[in-house]
Amino acid sequence: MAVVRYSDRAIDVPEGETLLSALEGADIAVPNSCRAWLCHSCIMVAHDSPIPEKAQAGLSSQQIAQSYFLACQCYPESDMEVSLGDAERRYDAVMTYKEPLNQGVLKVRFKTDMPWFAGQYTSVWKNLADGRSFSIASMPEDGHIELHVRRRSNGVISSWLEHEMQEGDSCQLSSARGHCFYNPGAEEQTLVLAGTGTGLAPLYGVARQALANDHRGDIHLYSASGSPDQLYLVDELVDLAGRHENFHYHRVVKREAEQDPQLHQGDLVDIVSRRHTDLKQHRIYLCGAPGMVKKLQKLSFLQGAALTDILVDAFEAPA
Amino acid sequence: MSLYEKLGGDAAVDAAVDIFYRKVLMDDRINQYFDGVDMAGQSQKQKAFLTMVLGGPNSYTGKDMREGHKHLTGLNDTHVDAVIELLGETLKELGVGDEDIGEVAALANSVRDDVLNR
Repeated sequence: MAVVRYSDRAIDVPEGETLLSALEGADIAVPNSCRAWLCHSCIMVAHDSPIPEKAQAGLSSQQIAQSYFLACQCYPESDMEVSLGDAERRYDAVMTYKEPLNQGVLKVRFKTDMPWFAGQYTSVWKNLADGRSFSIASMPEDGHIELHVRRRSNGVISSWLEHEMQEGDSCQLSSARGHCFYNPGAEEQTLVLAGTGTGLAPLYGVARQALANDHRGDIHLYSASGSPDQLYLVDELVDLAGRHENFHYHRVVKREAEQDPQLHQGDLVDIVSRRHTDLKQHRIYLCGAPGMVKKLQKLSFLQGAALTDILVDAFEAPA
Repeated sequence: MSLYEKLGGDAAVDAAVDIFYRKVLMDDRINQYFDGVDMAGQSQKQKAFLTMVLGGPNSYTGKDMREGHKHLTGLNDTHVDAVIELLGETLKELGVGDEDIGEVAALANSVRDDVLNR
């Protein structure tokens, strides 16, 4: 018999019974459908608890890294604490630093107890109702959450972060979500990271995390914008490429590439798919404009990448 | 032993989905129906379908197939034929013999009326 904690309840799960049926027996509603691990409706998260191997069969490596499991396949072997995967939790955070990176992007940093992986996203809440999602550019090892905020004069959250929030002020962040993060275990794999605008933020996080984990395969990072002056973190990335032989930084612009021989001019989708024609065994991360993300996702798959090796985060523009 | 088990279970189906879905997207007879579709969600559905036709654990109900294809205008037998053909090619690439492929094709064929909503 194992005891499973859910919210403020403690439920006994006798040997041979699934967690799903035990929770249902305790009148706790868990979405479910097939009860045969196929539909993934009953997906839950374990918190600092051992997860029976069978309960994670068929899940992606990204889901396993985040302690997801299927309640219909979970026969608890020891005590666990669990919650529904989509339950949002908000964490207190203190702004510790802010700095404009160029005319279009603001860097902000927060201290918080929230767990995260570099490349996931979180929402920043001005109050209970107004919040916006941003990708996380920093690693847990950095000790802070770093976000790259597109500066919009009429943006509710971006102008509040830039003009009202001061270093030392508090706000709330939602639990980190998303699959765009580095997962150790395939250190020889070539990584191709492509992003438009602040789609660079999660990719910067993934690249640094890979290098911090001694990733040995080549890492190609493509950062795209309209004109050269809209690119940001250029010095940091050139420096990173200078220090790591396997890290390659590529700048892509739509116009004015003649300023600098290091720049590629053209469409990011064309350039990446032309330069990486065989993507077998590669891992691809795509972040930013939804049109670019969808096109490159499909092309990457057709050019040989496994579906589970293409991680995407499309930034829908706020209305 | 089911073909699902013979091929190697869950991981083998993942590999099969990759091959199959790639063929579908490159086939001009049917790929217009997959334009702009969420790829992760679509692959999950294909996995459920392949698991079913390979005899793996499944909760197949004709209702899902019917609902899932109802909105596709112009869908007819030639499209179902194309899908079954690509399924056969996929299994051949994975080293499955003709006899087994015939059985899988028959199972896939059994959902034809659900897919075509008749």
